[in-house]
Amino acid sequence: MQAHPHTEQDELKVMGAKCYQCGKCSAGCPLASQMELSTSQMMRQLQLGNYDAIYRSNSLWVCVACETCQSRCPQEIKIVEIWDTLRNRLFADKKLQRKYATKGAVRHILLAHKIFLSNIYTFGRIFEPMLAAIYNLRSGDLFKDASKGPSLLVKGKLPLLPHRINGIKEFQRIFKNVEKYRAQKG
Amino acid sequence: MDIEKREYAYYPGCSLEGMAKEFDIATKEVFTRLGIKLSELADWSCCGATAAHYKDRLLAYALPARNLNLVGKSGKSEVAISCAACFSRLKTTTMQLEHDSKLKAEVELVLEEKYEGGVKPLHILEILMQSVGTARLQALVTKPLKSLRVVSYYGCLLVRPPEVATFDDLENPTSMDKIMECMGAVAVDWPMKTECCGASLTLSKSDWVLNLVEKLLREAKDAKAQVIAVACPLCQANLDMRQIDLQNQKRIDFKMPVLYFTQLMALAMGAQKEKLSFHRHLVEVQSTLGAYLNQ
Repeated sequence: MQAHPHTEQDELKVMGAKCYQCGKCSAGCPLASQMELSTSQMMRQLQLGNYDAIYRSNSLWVCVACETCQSRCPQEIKIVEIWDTLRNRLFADKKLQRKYATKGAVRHILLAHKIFLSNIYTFGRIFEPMLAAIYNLRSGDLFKDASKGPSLLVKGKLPLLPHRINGIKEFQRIFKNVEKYRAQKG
Repeated sequence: MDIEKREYAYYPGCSLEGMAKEFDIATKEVFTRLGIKLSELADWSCCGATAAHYKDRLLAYALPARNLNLVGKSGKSEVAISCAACFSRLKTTTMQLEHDSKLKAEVELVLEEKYEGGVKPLHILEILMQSVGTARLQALVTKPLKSLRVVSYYGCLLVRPPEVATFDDLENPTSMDKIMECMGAVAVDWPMKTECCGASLTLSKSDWVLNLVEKLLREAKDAKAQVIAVACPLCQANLDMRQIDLQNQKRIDFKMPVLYFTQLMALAMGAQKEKLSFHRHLVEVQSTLGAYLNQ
C-alpha cells in the first residue's frame, strides 16, 4: 500500500483506536449477514493496519451507509467517515480496484455507483430509466427487473425523456475540478 | 413569522421527477392547502446521494454546496426538502462547511465560486411538525382516515446520524405517527420504524434488498397495519416494487400499500383523485383507501 501516504493511514488508525470490540455496530447492522468481515472485525483490522484484509472483504461495499453503527457506537467513532475514506481510496486507485474489486458482489456494487455518477454527470440529475438499462448492460444481468419495466411505464413511473439542467457545463466542471485537484495533490 | 405567509425554497430531488412524482404532487398539494409557498429552486442539480460520498469526499460536499448557493441566490434562507437522502446530504454539507475551513476552501476551489453559507435545509416533516404544528394540520382535515391502521416507516436518514437529523428521536421517532393521528388514522406502533430497507443496493443486489423488505413487510402485517407511510423515495420504491418480486420469486403476497405520508395527508384533507396518484403504485391502493376518497 505504498501508494498512500502513511500520515493519512495513521489518521484512520487513530480514529479507530478507541474501538474496544463491544460489537454493538455488528449487532445492529442490517447487512451484517452479507458481510465477509463484520463491522467490529473491520475495526480490529484497521487497528492492526491490515488494509489488505479490509479490502479483501466485501464489507465496505455491502454497507449502504445507513448510519446505524455510527449512531450507536458508545465510543462515538465516526465509522461511516472512516469507511468513506477507505472507499474513496479504492475509487481513486485503479490498481486497488484491479486487485480487490473485479469479482462478485463488489464488482456489481461498485459498477452501480459508477453508473449512478456518470448518469448525473451527463444530465445534472438522475435519469432513472437509463440508470437501470446501463447497469443491466454492463453487469451482464440483462433482464434484471426488466419484467417490471412495462408496468412502470404504464403507471407513468418512468419519465420518457431526460431533463438536462441548464448549468450542465458548470456542473460537469465540478467533477473535473475534483479530479484535477486530486491529481495535483498526488 | 406568520406560518401562513411563509415561503420556502423547494428542492424536490431527482426521484421526485421520476419514480416518486406522486410524492412531489402530494407534498405540493398539502403545502398549498396550508397556504405555504414552495418555490422550486431554479436549475437545481443532484445532491450526489450515496455514490458521491463513496467516490470522493470533496465531490460529496461540492454537489450539495452548488444547490445551497442557489438557495442563497434566490434570496431565501430556508430550503424545504422532501427526500430523506437529499435532506441528509444538504444538511451534512452545511454543518461540515461551517466548521471545517480547509474543506470549505477546497469546495470553493472546485465550485469556482464562494460558498456563501447561511442556508438552512429542512425536511418537510420537520416543517410540518415544528413550524406548522398539529393543531393547524388537524384543522384542515375534512375526510378523517378513521380507523385506518398506519405504520410509519422512517428508515435511515430521517433519524440518523442524530447530529444531522435533529428533529426526532434516534431510535423511536414519532413525528410521522403524530401527523397520522392528526389525520384521524390509528398510528400503530411497530419495531421496524428505523430499520434499513437496503437502499441503493436495489440496483446491484436486489436479492439482499428483498430479504430486508420481506422482514419489514412481515412486521407491518403482524402489527395489523393496512398501509405503510414513508417519507423517502428509495424506501417507497423498495417496499412497493419489491412486493412484486416477493410474489414472483417466493409466492408471498403482502398486498401492503406503501404511501408517502403527504399522500395520506392530502387524502384526509379532501384532495382530488389526481393529486393522490394512487394509480402510480405497483401494489394496489384503491381497495384499501378508496372508501376514504369517496366518503
